[in-house]
Amino acid sequence: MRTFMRAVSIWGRRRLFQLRAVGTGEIVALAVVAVVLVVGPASVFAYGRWMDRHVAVVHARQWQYAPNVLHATAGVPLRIRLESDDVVHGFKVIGLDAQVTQLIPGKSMELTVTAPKPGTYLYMCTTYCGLKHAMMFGKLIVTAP
Amino acid sequence: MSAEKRVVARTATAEAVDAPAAPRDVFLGFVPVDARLELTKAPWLRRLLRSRWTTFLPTALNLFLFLVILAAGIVGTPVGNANIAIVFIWILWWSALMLVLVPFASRLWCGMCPLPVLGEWVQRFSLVARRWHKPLGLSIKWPKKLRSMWLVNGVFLGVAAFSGIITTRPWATVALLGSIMVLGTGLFLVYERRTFCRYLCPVGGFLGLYANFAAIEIRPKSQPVCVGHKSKECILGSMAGHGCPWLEQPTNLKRNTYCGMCFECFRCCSQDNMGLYVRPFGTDLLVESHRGLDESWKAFIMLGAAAVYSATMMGPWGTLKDMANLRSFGGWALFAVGLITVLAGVLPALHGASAWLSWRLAGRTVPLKKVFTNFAYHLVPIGLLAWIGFSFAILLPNGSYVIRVISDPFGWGWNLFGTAHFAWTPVLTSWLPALQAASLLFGFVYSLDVAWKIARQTFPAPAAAARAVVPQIVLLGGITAAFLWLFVG
Amino acid sequence: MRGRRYLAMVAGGVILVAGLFAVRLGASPLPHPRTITLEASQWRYTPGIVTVNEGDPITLIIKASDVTHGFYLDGYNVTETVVPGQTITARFVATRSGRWMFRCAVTCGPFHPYMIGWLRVQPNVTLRLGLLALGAIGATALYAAWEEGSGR
Repeated sequence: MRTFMRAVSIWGRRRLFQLRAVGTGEIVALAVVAVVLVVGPASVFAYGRWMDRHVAVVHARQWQYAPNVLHATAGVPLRIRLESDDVVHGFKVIGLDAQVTQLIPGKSMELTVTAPKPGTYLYMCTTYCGLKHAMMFGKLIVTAP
Repeated sequence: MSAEKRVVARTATAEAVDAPAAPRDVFLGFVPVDARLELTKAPWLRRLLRSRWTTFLPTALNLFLFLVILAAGIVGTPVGNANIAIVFIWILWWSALMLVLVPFASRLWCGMCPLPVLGEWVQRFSLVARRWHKPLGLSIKWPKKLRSMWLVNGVFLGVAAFSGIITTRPWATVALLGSIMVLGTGLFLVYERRTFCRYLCPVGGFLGLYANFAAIEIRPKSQPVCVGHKSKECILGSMAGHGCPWLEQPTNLKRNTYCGMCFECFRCCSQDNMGLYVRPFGTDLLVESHRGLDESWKAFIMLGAAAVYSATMMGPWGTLKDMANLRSFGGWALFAVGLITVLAGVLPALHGASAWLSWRLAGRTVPLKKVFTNFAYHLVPIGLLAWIGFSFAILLPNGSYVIRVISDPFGWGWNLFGTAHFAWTPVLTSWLPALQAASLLFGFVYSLDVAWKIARQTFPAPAAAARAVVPQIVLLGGITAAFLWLFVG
Repeated sequence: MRGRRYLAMVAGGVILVAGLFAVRLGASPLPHPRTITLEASQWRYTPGIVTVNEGDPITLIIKASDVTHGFYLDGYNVTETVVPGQTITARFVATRSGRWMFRCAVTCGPFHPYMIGWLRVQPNVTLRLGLLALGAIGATALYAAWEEGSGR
C-alpha cells in the first residue's frame, strides 16, 4: 500500500511540474480548444435535439416525403417541421386542417396537426414540383388514445 | 549541408541575386516601386505581432467555424443557400479572400487557417506555448523534385473540374475541405513544419502567386543586421519562437509567395529586425529570383479559371451549367477536359505565341524560356482583378444569405440571433457592371505597367524591351476585352 | 520628336472624342414596345439572352416548366415568383442601358444561384466606354513603347 501511495505521489508531482513548466497560457489555450472541439459541437448537438424534442421532422424532396409514415395519437397535437431539400413543394393532410401551400427550400415551416379520430390520413404535395409530383404522398397513422 | 551552413552560404550571395530596379522606378507614373511604410514602427503593433495569442485566437475561432461548417455539411440541409457551409465558404470567405485579404493582407489567411492547425499543434505538441523539444513526427524533408507549384497546379485543376458540384452541395464542400484537413494533419506528422501548406494546399497555390500583388509584406528591417547576426534564430528557432514553419529564410525573404504571415520570425528575432511594411501593389512581380514555369502555369490557370467560372456560373448558357452539374458523365467529362485544356493548354499557348513574338522582335538575345516565364508574371494583376470582378457578382446578389445563415446555420428552423427570416436581398446590383468594368480596367493598366518593367528586366536595352512589350500589350488588351465582354457585354 | 508627340496627342484626342460621341450610336429614337416570353426551367432561362433597346417598354411573360422558379432583374426593381402552370406578366421600361443579369429568385434546386440569363439593353454604353478606355490605354501604351523603341 505504501509503495502504491508513493508511486501516486511521484506521478502527481511530475504531472504538476510538467503543468507548471507548460504555463498558464497553455492551460487557457487548452480550455479554448476544448470549447472549440468538444463543448461547442456538443452544445450545438444538444441544442438541436432540444429544439426538436417534440417535433416530427419531415423532409420533402423530389418526389417523396421522408419519413413517409407519421404516427400520432387521436386528440393529441402533433408538431411537424417541414423542410424542403430541393425545390418548392407543398403539404396538405387530407381531411384535416393542416396545409402549407409553398414550402420554400431553406425555410422550414412548422405546423401542428390534431386528428380527432383514429385512422389513416394521407398527406400530399400541393405544389407542382416536377414529373412525379402526383405520386408524392405519405401516411399519417392515428391511433386511439 | 546542415541548415546553419546553408543559411550562411545563402546570405553571402543574397546581395548579388537581384539586379536593382531602375532608379526612381515608379508604378502608375507616381508611386515609387521602393516606397515602404513600416507599420511596426508602432510599438503596440510590434507587441501584438510578437504575442503568440495573435495567431492562436483567430485560428481557434476559425477552427470553431470550420467545425460548425463540417457538421452543417454532414447533417445540415442540402439546400446550399440555407447551409452555413456553402454561404460562409463560397460567398463570405471566397469574396473576402479576393476582395480584401489577398490584395491588402497577402497570405494572412494562411496565418489563421484552421485546416492545418490540428496537425501543427500535434507536431509542436503545444497549442500556444513554445516548447523546446524536437517536433513530433518524422519531420522528413519534402523531395527536391516536388519543391514547386506543379503538384498544387494539378490538385487545383482536379478540384476545379468539380467546382460546379463543390460550390453548390454542402456535402461536397465539406468532403473537399475535410479531406484537405485530414491529409494535411497526416502530413504534418510525416514531413517537416508546414510542408503541406507550402507544397500541397490548393488554396495556397493561388494565394501564393497572387500575394505577389499584395500591398503588404514582412521583411527584415535591416540587411546588415541580418548579415552580421550569425545565429539565424528566424530559421532554426529559439526559445521565443519556432523557426519559419514555411521553410522560408526571413533574412533572405524576397517575395510574399511562401510567407504565411504567421509572425514566428517576429517572435524569434533577438534583434527585433523583422518589420511589417505597406508597399505598392505588385512589387514582388518585379523580383527576378525564384521565377519559374510552375508559377507561370499557376498564372494561366487562375486567369483561365476566372473566365471559365464566369462563363459557366454567370453566363446564360444552360448546357454549360448542365455539364458542370454532372447531368451526364459524358457532359461533365467534356467540361473537365475543356476546362483543363483552356487553363493549362490554350492560355499558355496564347501566351507562348506572344512570348515567341516578343523574343523574335527583341532579337532573340535572351532564351525563349526566360521570356516565356518572365512575361507570365504580368498576368497576375489582370488575373486578380478579374477574380475581384467575379467576386462582386457573387457578393452583391447573394451576400444577404450570410445574415440568415448566422441564425440558422443548419437550416433546421433555428433563430439564434433573430435574423433567420432575413429575406434574400440583392444589394447594389445596378453598380455591378460599372464595378466589374472598373476592376478590369485597373487590372489592365497595372498589368501593362508590370509588363513594361519586366520587359526592361528581361531585355536591358530599352529599344529591344520596347519592341518585346508590344505583343504583350496586344495580348493583355485581348484578355481584358474578352473579360469585359464576359462581364458587361 | 516633340512634333510627333504633339501630333499623336492631337490624333488620340480626336479619336477619343469621336469615340465618346459614338458610344451612344445606335440608340433607337423611338421606344418600341416588346413582349418577350421566357421559359424558366432547371437551371436556365429560354431564351438565355434577351436584347432590347433603351427606353422600350417591356412586357415579360414568364412560365415555369418544371418546378417553382422566380425572376429578379439586376439594376431594375422587378421580382416575381413563377409557379408551374401559372403565367406571370411583368412590365417595366428598360431605362438603364447595358447588360443586366436576371436570375432566379426562388430556390429551385442545387444550381439555383447559377440560374442566370442576360438582358442586353442597347446601346451597351458600359461596354463601349470600357472598350474605348481599353483602346485608349492600350494605344497610349503602344505609343509609349514606340517612343521608347525608336530611342528618344
